Amino acid sequence: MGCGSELLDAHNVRVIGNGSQVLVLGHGFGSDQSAWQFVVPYFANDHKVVLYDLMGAGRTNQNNFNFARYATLHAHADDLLMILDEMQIESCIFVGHSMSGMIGCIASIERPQVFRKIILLSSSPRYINDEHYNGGFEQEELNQLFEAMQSNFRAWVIGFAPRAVGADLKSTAVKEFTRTFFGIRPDIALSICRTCFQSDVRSILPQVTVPCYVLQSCKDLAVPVVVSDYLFRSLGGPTKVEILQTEGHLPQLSCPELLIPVMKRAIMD
Amino acid sequence: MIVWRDCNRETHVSDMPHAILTDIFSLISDPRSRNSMALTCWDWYSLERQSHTSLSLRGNICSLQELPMCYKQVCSLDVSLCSPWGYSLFQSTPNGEEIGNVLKAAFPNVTELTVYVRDALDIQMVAWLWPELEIVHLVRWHQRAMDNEASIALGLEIEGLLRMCGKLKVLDLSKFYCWTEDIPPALQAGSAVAANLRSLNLLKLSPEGFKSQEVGAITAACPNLEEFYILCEFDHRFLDSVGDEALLVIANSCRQLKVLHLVDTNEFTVSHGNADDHGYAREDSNISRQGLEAMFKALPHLEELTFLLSQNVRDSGPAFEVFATHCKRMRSLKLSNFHGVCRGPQPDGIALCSGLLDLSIKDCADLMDSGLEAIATGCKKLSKLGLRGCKWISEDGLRNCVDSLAYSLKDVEVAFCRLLPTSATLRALQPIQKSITHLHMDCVWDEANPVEGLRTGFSRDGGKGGTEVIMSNGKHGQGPERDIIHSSELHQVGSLGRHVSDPLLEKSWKSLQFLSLWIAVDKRISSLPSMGLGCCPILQKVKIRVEGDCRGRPKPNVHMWGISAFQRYTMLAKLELDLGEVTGYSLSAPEGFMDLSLWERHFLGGVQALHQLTELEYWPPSDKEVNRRGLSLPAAGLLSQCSTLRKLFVHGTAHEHFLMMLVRCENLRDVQLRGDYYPAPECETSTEMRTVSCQRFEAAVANRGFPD
Repeated sequence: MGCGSELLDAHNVRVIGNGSQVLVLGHGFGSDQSAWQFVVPYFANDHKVVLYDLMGAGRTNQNNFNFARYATLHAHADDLLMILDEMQIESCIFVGHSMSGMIGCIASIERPQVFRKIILLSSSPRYINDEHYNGGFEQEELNQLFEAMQSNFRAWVIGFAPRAVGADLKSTAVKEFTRTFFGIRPDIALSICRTCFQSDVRSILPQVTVPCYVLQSCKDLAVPVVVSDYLFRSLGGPTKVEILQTEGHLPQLSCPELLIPVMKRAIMD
Repeated sequence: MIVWRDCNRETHVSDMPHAILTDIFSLISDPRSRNSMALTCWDWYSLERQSHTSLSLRGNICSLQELPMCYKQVCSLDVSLCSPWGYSLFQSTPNGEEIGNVLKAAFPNVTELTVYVRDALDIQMVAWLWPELEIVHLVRWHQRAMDNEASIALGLEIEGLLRMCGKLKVLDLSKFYCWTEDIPPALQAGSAVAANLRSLNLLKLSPEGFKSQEVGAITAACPNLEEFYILCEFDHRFLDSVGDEALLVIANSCRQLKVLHLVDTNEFTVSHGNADDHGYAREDSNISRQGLEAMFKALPHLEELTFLLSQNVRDSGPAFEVFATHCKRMRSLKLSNFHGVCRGPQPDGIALCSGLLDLSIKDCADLMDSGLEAIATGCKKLSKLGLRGCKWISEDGLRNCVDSLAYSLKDVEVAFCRLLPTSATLRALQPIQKSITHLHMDCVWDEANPVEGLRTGFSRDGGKGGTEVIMSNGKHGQGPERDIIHSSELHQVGSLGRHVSDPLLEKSWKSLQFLSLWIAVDKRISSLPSMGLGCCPILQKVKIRVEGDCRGRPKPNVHMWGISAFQRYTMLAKLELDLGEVTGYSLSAPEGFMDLSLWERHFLGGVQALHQLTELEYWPPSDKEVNRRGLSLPAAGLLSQCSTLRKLFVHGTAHEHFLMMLVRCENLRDVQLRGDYYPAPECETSTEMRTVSCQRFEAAVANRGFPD
């Protein structure tokens, strides 16, 4: 990876607003920082809002995506820390949507002093159901998704038109969660999908010492409410949970007006 | 190459004197032909370049050192499409002045310029580089700059142009975003030049219309206008709206007017279908017959009038009779929401404008067949006829009208006329089937039942002697191929003698070059050829506009919308597919709703079958909630399959990796993303388009090279 401003450029880092408190917004896999477009105006007056794109997001140069490196979430956590270093941010509140929430947690284990607070929005440490754990997805549901991703990848490699879109999937839960995945380049999308569904961050949750705020929709097919409960019990630092009266996995896009007051409270708390 | 065989020797075309060759060359406008001519020999090269007077520059401003210097004769230059689209030529890079100098050195004789500008500084640069400009088209889809004092000052942008370009005759702001308050002070400050302006186009991009006082100030500053286009606030419920007095002021100030376009603000913002049950608009206008007559009397030189209102003017017939008497040079007339324009059966109202070549009537609630026939009788030279939202016109009425005008009528537009679905329109146009060159119509099928699962059937309409063909969507699981087979089956069936096939399907539309269609989002276009447009041997350009709301609609039939049905038109080179008014969810879909990528796949499926296509313009569907019009994965994939495409213009945004998919089209050489919808996405908040992405893409295409 490049150094200095090349790094910031590669991640499309943008700073909006002014304030003593730095607020870093991390988007989930498949979307990009524009997912926060409705939320940013409400915080720009009081905070310095930092937006960035995960490597592999639609707007980044996809040639920078190192498949070996990004097979796990730790690489994304490292990227985040590098960005914070580059911008000389010593203390921030991190808001992570979906996978970014976990990325924030991992980063905070490495450098707890940088994160004053982490707000996890629609995040989950593991998506696939386990014997005693309800993650929300069964392996069979995911098979159809991987088939679609693979067929897109195959078509793309040969030079045909990748045609599978999220709406083709039968499982509504998978459809909802991966709605944004189909906008990424097919090979990267396949890799991100694997990373996402193979990841299991449960074991490291107790090592998180930073205060956490767990937010999720009451009706999010990708994140059952029990997951928030699990996070509450497992996270190492002081944790609060709030269930929003919203639907869907991307409340910051589909119903920002319900999310924003809750976020404000979480940040000010 | 023309080779004349004489008795004794062959005379070659290049034996002709240069003066004649130059004239011949200057008549050729197709760029590829011109390039071929220039490659023949040095003589021809220099002749071609000398007669090359108009050029549209498409290249990246960062590679301006490659600018060809041989086009010094160019006097009409378009630089508004340089890459990256929508960026200032002079302020995007640190060496803006150098860019300006290079352009000036390469094109010293420019008198007509089209340029994309972002702020006053850009305009000043333009004026400084080419002070001899006579015709200027300013383009700006982005919002007006508000970030510094200079920009905020009203009128400063245009004033800069007027001050420096003393020879300015034509100012075209139809694609320029500005405020109405910008114009009067600019014209007043540059009054010397304003007084010499011959043509002023103020159909600007932002939706506010000029008020009465502003109109007065503008026309007072430009008394010598011959062409005037202006967006006005006609709604009498607003303060200072344009009414009778303002119309008279226009007429009295600009007595030389030949072309006048008065357009209401709602024309560009409100879609059709705002009429009440009787076809009238909800409010009546303040414009009166007397006001109209006074205006017409004061404009004897008027040749072209476009008057588009969104409120009713009733019983306007007599006013148009005054019009016919006083404006004898009238050639082109377009009206909207004028009622009573012609009653018939004897010519009255607008039918008395006997010299009319081009007539377009929109939303006239009381135009009957008799009125239309009277128009045909009275305006014998009519070559272009447009009817929009005229609910009483029937197939018979249109047919009789077309029949009377069979010698002159070449261009017909029929839209949103309740009694004229597609097949009826095509039958009515039968008298000019062999001579019509341009056609616009709506795709409204006579389907008995749009639900899949119906068998296809033929039924004989005994009364009229023709055969009405009822096409269904075909059985589930079968694609558009079946629809094409149906029409050829029809021919076979005819030859068996069991049914009489529709004569329309056998004859061809021999002269049809340009076809424009409107279709609702839930209908399939594959039925079009079987409606009567089966054979169009020289059809070169098709424009399709799809409109409707996808949100909440059931999943479209997986099988294609049927664009591959257009492969039957073997000369089809250019296609414009406008899905811009198809609205739906992109990322903001609530749970359980589908997003637009599904719809893009539906509409674009099969587009690679159009082997004859060389140019495609595509407007992706839009998610109005997030102001996003972008290519999705299936769209990029499907477009990348079009191997014969040479030019592709996407009027929206796209991720870089989607653009990169397009590099696979071997013949593709000219691709641009143009955010020319209002308001254009600002660079900072744009989700996908970035300058470096465009540069990387263009470099990839250049590296790949071109087969021919």
